[in-house]
Amino acid sequence: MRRNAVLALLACSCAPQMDAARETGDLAPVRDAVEREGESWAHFALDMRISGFDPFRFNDRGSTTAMHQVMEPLLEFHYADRPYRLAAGLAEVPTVSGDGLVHTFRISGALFYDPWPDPLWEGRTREVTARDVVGGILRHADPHVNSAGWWTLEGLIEGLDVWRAAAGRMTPGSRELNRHYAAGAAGGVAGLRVADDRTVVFRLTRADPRFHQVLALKYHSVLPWEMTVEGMGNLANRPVGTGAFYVADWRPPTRVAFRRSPARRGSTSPALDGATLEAVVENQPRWLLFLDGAIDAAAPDRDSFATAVTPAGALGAELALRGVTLQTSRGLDVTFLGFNMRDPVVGHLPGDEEGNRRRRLLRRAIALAYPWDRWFDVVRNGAWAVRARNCLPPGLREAAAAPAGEWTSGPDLGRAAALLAEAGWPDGRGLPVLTLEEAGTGSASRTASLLLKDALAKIGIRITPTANTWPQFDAKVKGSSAQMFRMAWRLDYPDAENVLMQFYGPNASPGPNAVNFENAAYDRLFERFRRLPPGKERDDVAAEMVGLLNAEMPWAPRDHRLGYHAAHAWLEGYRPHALDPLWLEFLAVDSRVKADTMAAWGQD
Amino acid sequence: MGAYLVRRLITVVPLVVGVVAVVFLVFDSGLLGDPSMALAGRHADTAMIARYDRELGLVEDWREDAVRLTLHAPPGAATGIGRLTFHEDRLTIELPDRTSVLALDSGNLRDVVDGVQAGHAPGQWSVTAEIADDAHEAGLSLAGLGAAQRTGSARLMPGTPLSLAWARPVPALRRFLGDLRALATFNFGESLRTRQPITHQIALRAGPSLGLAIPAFTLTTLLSLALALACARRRSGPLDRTVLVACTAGMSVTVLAFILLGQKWLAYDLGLFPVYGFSGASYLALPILIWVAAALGPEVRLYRTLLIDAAGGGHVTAARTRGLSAAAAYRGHVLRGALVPIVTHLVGALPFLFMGSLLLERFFGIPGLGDYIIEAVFAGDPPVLKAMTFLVALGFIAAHVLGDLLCALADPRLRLS
Repeated sequence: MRRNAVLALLACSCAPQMDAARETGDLAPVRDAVEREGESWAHFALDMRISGFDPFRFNDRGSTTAMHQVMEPLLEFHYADRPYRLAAGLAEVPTVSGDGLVHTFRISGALFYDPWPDPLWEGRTREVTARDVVGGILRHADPHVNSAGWWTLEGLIEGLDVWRAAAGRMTPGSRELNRHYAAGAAGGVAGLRVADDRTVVFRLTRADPRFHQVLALKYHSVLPWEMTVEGMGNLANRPVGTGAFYVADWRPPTRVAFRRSPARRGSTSPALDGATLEAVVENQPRWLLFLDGAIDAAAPDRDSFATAVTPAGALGAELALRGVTLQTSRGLDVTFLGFNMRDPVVGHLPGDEEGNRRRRLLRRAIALAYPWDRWFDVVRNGAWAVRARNCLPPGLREAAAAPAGEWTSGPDLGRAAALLAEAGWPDGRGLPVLTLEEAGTGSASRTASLLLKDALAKIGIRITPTANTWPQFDAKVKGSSAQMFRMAWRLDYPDAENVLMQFYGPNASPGPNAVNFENAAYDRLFERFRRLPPGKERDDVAAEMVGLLNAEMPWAPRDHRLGYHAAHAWLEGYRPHALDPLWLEFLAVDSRVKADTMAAWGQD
Repeated sequence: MGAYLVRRLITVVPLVVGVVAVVFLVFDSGLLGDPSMALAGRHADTAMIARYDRELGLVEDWREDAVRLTLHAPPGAATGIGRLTFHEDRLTIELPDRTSVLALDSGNLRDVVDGVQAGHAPGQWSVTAEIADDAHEAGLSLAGLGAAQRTGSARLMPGTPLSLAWARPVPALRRFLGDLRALATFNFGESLRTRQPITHQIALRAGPSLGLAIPAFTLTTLLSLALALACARRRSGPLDRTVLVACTAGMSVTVLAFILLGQKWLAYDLGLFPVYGFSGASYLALPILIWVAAALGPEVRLYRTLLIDAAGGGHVTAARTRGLSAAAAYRGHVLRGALVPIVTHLVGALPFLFMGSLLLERFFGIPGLGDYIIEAVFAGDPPVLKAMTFLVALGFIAAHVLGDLLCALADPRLRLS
């Protein structure tokens, strides 16, 4: 009796949830959001949440991973080729004029597919036109949208900044602003021309090799004009794109189910019928789901790593027996210890030459004392990173030629102590206690900061690590009130510019130049660098800039992370990709292998 | 009784206002970070942050393009980039040749524009400014700019006018009253992070959270009361000793260990339960089991102590000496005597029930309210945190009123007017 009461309670309390889920029919529009008998589905888990599908607002990795399946930019970073290179997306690789200013894109004739009730078009599909491309660019420029991706276009397209300023003076939703958009798409912006239905011509204010790279970012996924400009539909929750899949079910912020888009036909149609992507933020359940066969690929976490991967970097015996495969991938990132250059103790103060010399020596001493070896063992599990030679991740063209910093040979406490003495603080005497801001309140970041604290204590530098939640950390760094901080930079696109721009004066806080490095010589070099096409001259300028950074040490580069990716035998075509981690389009599931493997496990 | 209830409810109003005030002050202090900065992401610029300030209702009288600054290059000069820096009530314009600097202190908009014009020298790097008519009439000042644009910098490029938005900060009291009105009408707005309506999310998530919490809480209470009764009646007997040892052992293990072990062993190794996910009531069985296992220890010990205290009362001894059986004494006197502290304890736990268990929800993928709160804390999502704090506070107050009423029913002595 009592148990029945409990069960009844349970049933009652679940009921409202189920009803509510039905009410939000708009988030689960399609009858067949679940796997049907005989279909081929893949299942994946992310270690982070999915905010939504609005590329103008969301740029977290969960969201971009989900967006990647349902919408396409003009260009994409090739799935399999390394080093990363740009390949055709919704458009072919464009033709560029001799002066590098005019870029002509031909759109491939793909179809938008709208799976939602009350679709935008009868028949649910419409061919992509040049106007859709222009609509997205204009939406980024509209100050009322406050786009997260405006930085990729600012000052780059002729006349677009002027269009933006004018749009700012208009009222959102007004007829005047609508006319302004229409005019912008009809030649009102000199650098943005619809040549015909399938051709867009961009005219830039300067030659900038970055232009194609940023167009391949998720910000520039091409969406229907009706949604970007006319405000129909719902960008965050009801995506309509040209991708190989459409969203069949969306439970923000944790779960998306995808189905193959009927608008894709022939060779561009994917092998999978559908897939699920679920945010599983804790490590243990994610790994157990993988071992259970409930998800098809996963990265071994700290606890499972020892059994999953041998010290030699191969797959553990038990998993190998099950046919699991292991791939490693080089992340496009760099982690570092940053010094706020506006700070009077560790930074650079205009006019104070002697003080700046001493503080430069201090920063170099700290970098030399950095306990990289211990860090690698303890925090990186002895495997998850390669040491940074400089700020550029290996794999970038410019990284090879750029000079290595003096800390690369360290840790060298003797030399660090000598530099500290030369700076006028022998054994740390007279040096105030320094503050290290940590992004994270967990044991991992505590361990990491204690390693540094102990190492620096050996040469007499005392530091106080402070734990912060991400928003607290972010406010301190962007507000220039952090003194030293540990941070990582995952590159937006595979180009040295995306790292080197972090030291460009005008990008200072709250911008990406989080350390507030301001150096006229560096700024001049950067302004030259970013106009140069890939080649020897560009490599040389980058090397000179890296040399300057190694000497000035606004941040001490620490490591570049390595990824380990395990996948089940039945998953075909899986390759880790540092920029877009999941390409459902190229995956297949061999259901026979899956059934056999699962049956064999059952007998274990 | 009715008067008692009314009096009790009247005292609730200032309590709720107080709670909202505390929540408001915590967020306003910036201790939890700066939501506008967090939203702007790593490619933030000052204007973008200021636009989020506007979206969050921190500034008003927003005038896009109130002042437009244009950088002029000298004839034959290479291209260059100038810079504009705001710091509190000071505006600094640095020209691309890095030599000329115009610094302008607090004044009204017209003074600033005049100052820029005065520094304009044709033939050299220089800047001119235009002012929008309505912005001039509004008399907005540089202090307003400081609030809207915050401390930061912007790029000045020749040929591209830089347009500055101008705004005025909204006074804290007005923002507080706005918060109060929104919360009182249960109009929680949207999550800043995900743009999902908060009320809808709470409605969606309450089910899974309660589905976990109510059975777990009920089971824990019934089981621990039964065990405590058995122990209290045979104090220091074999059962009492065994239970005490087991409880102490259970209490010295963290909830996290229960979760990790339960998930690995019961769900994955033995396959008795689903490992993760939420698509029906069966997914709740293991989390409920873990909740009960982790909560049982302290509960049993508490109830046992309360019962033993009650059993030691003079009236119980008196009843027993008059020939009342032990069972009857327990039913009629001991349980009754322990009822008030037990009820107080139970209602104290009620408001936290609807949050489920933060860790359990996270590890088992139950899309509940606890998970919602954790995510909002990590992401810095004030509207969600405000709404949830408000609801917990309301629940807390409601539970206490309920507790008082129940205690008054249970014990007439507490009904004193």
